[in-house]
Amino acid sequence: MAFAFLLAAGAFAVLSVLALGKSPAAPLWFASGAYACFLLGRIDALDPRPTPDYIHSGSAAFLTICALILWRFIRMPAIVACLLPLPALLFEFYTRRFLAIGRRDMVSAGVALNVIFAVLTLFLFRADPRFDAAVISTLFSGLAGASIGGLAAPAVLFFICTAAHVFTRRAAPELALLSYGRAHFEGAGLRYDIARNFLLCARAAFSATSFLSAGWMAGTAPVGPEHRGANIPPSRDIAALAQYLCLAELLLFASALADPLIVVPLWFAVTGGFFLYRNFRRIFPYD
Amino acid sequence: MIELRGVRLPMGAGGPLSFTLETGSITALIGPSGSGKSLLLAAIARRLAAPGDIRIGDRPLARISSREYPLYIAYSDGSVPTDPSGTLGDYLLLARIHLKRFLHPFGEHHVQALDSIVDAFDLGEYRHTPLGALPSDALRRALVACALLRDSELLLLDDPAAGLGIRSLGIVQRALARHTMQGDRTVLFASGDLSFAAQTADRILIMDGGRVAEDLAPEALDADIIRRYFNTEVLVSRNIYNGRPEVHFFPGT
Repeated sequence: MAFAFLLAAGAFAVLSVLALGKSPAAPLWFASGAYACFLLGRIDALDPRPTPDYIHSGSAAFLTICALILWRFIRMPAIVACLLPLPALLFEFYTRRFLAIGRRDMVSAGVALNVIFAVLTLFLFRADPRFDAAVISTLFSGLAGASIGGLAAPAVLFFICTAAHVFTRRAAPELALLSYGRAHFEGAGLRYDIARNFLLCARAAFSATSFLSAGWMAGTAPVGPEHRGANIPPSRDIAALAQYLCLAELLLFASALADPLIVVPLWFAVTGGFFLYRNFRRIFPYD
Repeated sequence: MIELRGVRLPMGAGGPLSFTLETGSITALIGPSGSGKSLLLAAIARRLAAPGDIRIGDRPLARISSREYPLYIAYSDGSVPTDPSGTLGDYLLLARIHLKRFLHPFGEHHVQALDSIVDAFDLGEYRHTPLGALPSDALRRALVACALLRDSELLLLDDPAAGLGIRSLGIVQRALARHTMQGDRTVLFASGDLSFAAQTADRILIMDGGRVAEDLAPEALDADIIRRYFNTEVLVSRNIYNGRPEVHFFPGT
């Protein structure tokens, strides 16, 4: 299964580059973004309750608004890209630490943020005649659509994601213990607050990487396989990763055929609907 | 030896607590609801700030680092794991996490320790069952098993008998006796089940208003003492095998 997904991902990537004229870096950016989104899902898997991905939690909308504001003052994509991890960190700490909102509330907050983003975008379209819709289109497809070329940067990013993946697998017992709660984690002589803050930083890094690399098109978590817990067997892990990569490359291919302004809202509706259908009728132990 | 000197629990009029637990002993804390049993356990487990001096061996509790903590103290307050998706076997094995190297897998001896505790607590049939799907009796046993598996010098259990069936009470009782058999492990537990406390412990401390009101051998527990501290009439019989008290209610009173 994993092999079939990887084969399909490769086929979509080759078609996007050779047939539709995408830059060779674009599939690699999307692969890095999908890998980061997959790792975000691995962190979320520590929680037994369902978690919206970085798009449906509103993180992508918040980062897009931040990028638009930054773009007003700094007209250099590379600088804007370097600054965006900071609002990602702010988002994670504000929502998950300061407000400490629950998973169900996270869905509602995500809907609210996405509505704010949609209203803001419509307002900019109507109120500002100089506003260029291509900026939104570029933000929807991340650095893959921002003409920041070169294979080195996305390759390094992919390698870093691979290293982070290996780390999460090796640290599976410690992460599993974290999922059992503060009492169990601290009882083992480990610092719960430090570990939680570390995970929030990791979340911020992965959501910023997903957003920067593939814009709004790395988020395939709601339709992807759902394995909860830290001890996910390697075969399932690889199959899930392959599915993330395949869906991301499919979206790259689709965004090369049609504008990201069309592909992203469609994908947003499909994944959002799927997430709600899958999770809103479930009963959660201890909830 | 575990020594408490001038420990004050944060509960108003509670007096300073001073007592010593001999290594290798099993001590039960009993007392009416709100008497400070759980607070005392939480204070010894460092979950609660309480002024005073607590020493484990010759080391002050405050000087024990987080890393060393599980070598000295294992504490179970009966809280269930927040993630019910992990299997019982995985959950129990994680009790040994402080004995393995970071980013390294568990060694064979950890798996052997797990096997032996699973057998001792008769949890073999649930080993691959997710925690959320365990019967409550098995989950309660698992929480005690997890604390024992840590292999710490001092084992603190808050109401280990809560929610246990008659067979499980026997299993836990035998496991605690076996745990202290070598003479190098100490157990302190709070219990609302006076019969369980009297049958299991070598010594009973009766808590009242945040202080130790009585310090007695289990055999000395009688209806008068229970009336005095629990404000209830009971009948106390003696177990024919060990002469220890069994507490019964008067039906209809």
